[in-house]
Amino acid sequence: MKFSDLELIIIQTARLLEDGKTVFPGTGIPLLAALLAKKLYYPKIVLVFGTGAFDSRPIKTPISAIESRTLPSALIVYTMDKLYSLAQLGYLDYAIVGGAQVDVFGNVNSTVIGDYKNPKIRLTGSGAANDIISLAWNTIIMIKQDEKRFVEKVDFITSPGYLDGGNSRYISGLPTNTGPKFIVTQYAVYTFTEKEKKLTIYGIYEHINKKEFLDELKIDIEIPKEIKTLKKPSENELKALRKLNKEKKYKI
Amino acid sequence: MLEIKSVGVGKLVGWRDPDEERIWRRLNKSREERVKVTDLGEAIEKFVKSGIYVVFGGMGHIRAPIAAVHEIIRRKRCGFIFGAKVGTFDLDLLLAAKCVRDLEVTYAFGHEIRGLSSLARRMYGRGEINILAEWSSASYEWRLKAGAMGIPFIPTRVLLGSDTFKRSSGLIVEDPFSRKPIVLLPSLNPDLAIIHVHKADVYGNAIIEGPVFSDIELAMASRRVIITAEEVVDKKIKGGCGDNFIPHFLVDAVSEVPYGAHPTNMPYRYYFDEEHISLWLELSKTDEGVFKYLEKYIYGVRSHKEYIDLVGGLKKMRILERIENEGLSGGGKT
Repeated sequence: MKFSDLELIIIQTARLLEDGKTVFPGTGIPLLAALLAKKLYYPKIVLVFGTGAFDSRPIKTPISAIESRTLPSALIVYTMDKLYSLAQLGYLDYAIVGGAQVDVFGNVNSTVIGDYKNPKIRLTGSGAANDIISLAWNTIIMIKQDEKRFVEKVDFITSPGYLDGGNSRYISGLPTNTGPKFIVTQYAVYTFTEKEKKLTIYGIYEHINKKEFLDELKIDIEIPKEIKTLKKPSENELKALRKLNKEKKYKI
Repeated sequence: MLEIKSVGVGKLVGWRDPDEERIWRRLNKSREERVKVTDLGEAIEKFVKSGIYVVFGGMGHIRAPIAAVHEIIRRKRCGFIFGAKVGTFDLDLLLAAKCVRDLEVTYAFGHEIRGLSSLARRMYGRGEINILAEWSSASYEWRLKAGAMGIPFIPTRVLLGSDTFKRSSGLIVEDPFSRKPIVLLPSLNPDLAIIHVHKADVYGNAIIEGPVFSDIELAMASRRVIITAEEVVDKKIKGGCGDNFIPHFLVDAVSEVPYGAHPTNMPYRYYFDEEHISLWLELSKTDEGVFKYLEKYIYGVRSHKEYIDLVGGLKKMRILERIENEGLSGGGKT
C-alpha cells in the first residue's frame, strides 16, 4: 500500500509510545498519533488533552486539540490550573508535538522563522507546547525533515529541548530526567546520547537507502554502532489511521 | 537576597500592586445581590475602553464570546490591549476591524489544522500588530491565578531555558528553597473579562458546563466581568462545591445571547460551524474579502439574532447541535 510522509511519521510515532502512560498530544498530527497508538497498540494509554479532558475516549476524531470531541468518557475535565499542575508535579509521561523547526538538541520553534523583531514568518507561538515539553518526562517531536525545518540551531527556542546539550537543560532549572526522547521524520527516528545529549539515530525505515541517507545528512550527528531497521506502515496500520481521518480534516 | 538571574524583555502589562487592587475591589465591587441583566451593546459601551486590558473566557475556538466581539466592533470600542490566551477566530475579527494592535501572545495567528491566519500575517508584515510579550498556556493561566490570589507573582518551572521566556515579562531567580533556577510570573489583573457561559441567573451567577479553562481565575482576577449566556434564568443559581461557577459579586453585567459563541464550539450545545470558519478563512485572504465579511456579518446586522439568521438560522443551529451530540454521545457529561 502507498503511504504519505505524514502517514509514515504518524504511524511510527504511535509505535514509539508506551502502554499505561499519560500522553498529551499537541494540536495537529500529534493528536492522530496518540489516538492511533491507543487504538492499535496501547489501549491503556491515558489521553490528556488541552481541554483538560483526562483519560477520555474520543468517539469522533477531534480536529482541534481543544474541542468537545476530546471529552467523551473523560474521567474528569480539569481546569487549566489543575491540568498543568499535574504536569508540573510529574504526572505527564509523554508530550507529542509538531513544530515548524527543530534543531540538533531537540529545541523546537513555533514562534518565528528568522529574526524575532523582523521575522520572515510569524508563527503561532507556544500555546501549550512550551509547558508540556518542559514538564513531560518524554517528548516526541514529529516533523517532516528538510534543510529548513531540521537545523543546527533553531531561530527561536519556543520550547526547550536539551538547549546546548550536556547538562544545560537541567542547569536551566528544568526538571531532571525530562527532555526529548525521539524526533520522528519521514526518513528516520532520531534520539539523543545519554550524557552529551547529542543527536543520534535510533532507526531508519526499511525503504530508505541507509548509506545514501547517512551520506547526505547535513546536520551534526553521531552515527551509532547499532541502527534499528524500522518497518514501513502495514496495511493494518494505514487502514486504522485512514479510518481515524475518514472526515479528511487532516491533510496527510 | 533573591538573586535575579534573568529578566524577560517583554513589556509588563496587566500587573497591579496588590494593595491597589484590594482597595479597588473594596470600593468598586458591591457584594450585594442585584439584578444585572443588561443589553450586551450597552455593557460593551460601558466597560470596553481604549487602553484597558481585555481577556476573553473560553479558549480559542471553544466558547469564545463572539457576540461580544461583534458588539465591540460595531460600536468601535477599540484600542485596548488584548490577551490572546488562545486567539483564533475572535482575534482575527478584532484585527480585521483594526480594533486591536497591542497583544500578549500565548497562541495566536493560527487556526490549528485549518492553517495559519493569512490576515494576521498580512497585518504583521505591515507593522499593524504589536506583540508586547510571549507566554505559554500554563504561564498565562498561572499569571491569572496569581491575579486571582491577590499576590504580585507566582513561581513556575515552565518557560525556563526558552526564548519564550526571554520575550516574556517574567524573571528568573534562584529559588531559596531548592537552590534551583525558577521563573517568577508577574500576576495579571485584567481590567475586563468577557466570558460566554451556558447558563446564568439575573444576578450574574454563572455556570459553565464541560471545560472551564481559566474562566474562574479570570473572573476573579479581572476588575470587571461581562457574562454572556446561552440562557439567563430568574431562579437563583448556586455553586455548590464546583469548580465551574462564577459568583454574582464578581460580575458586572449579564446578557442572554443564544448561540453567542458561534461559529466556535459550545461544548454540549453546538459544534464549530466549519462552513462559516472556512468562509472567513477564504475571504480573509484579501483585504477586499475582509471588508465584505465585516460589512455583511457585523456592520450589516444590528443584533446577534440577525447574525444567526444570516448564517443559517435555527435550521443551521440544529445541524450544529446534532454534530455536537454525535461527537459526544456514548460518553455523557462529566
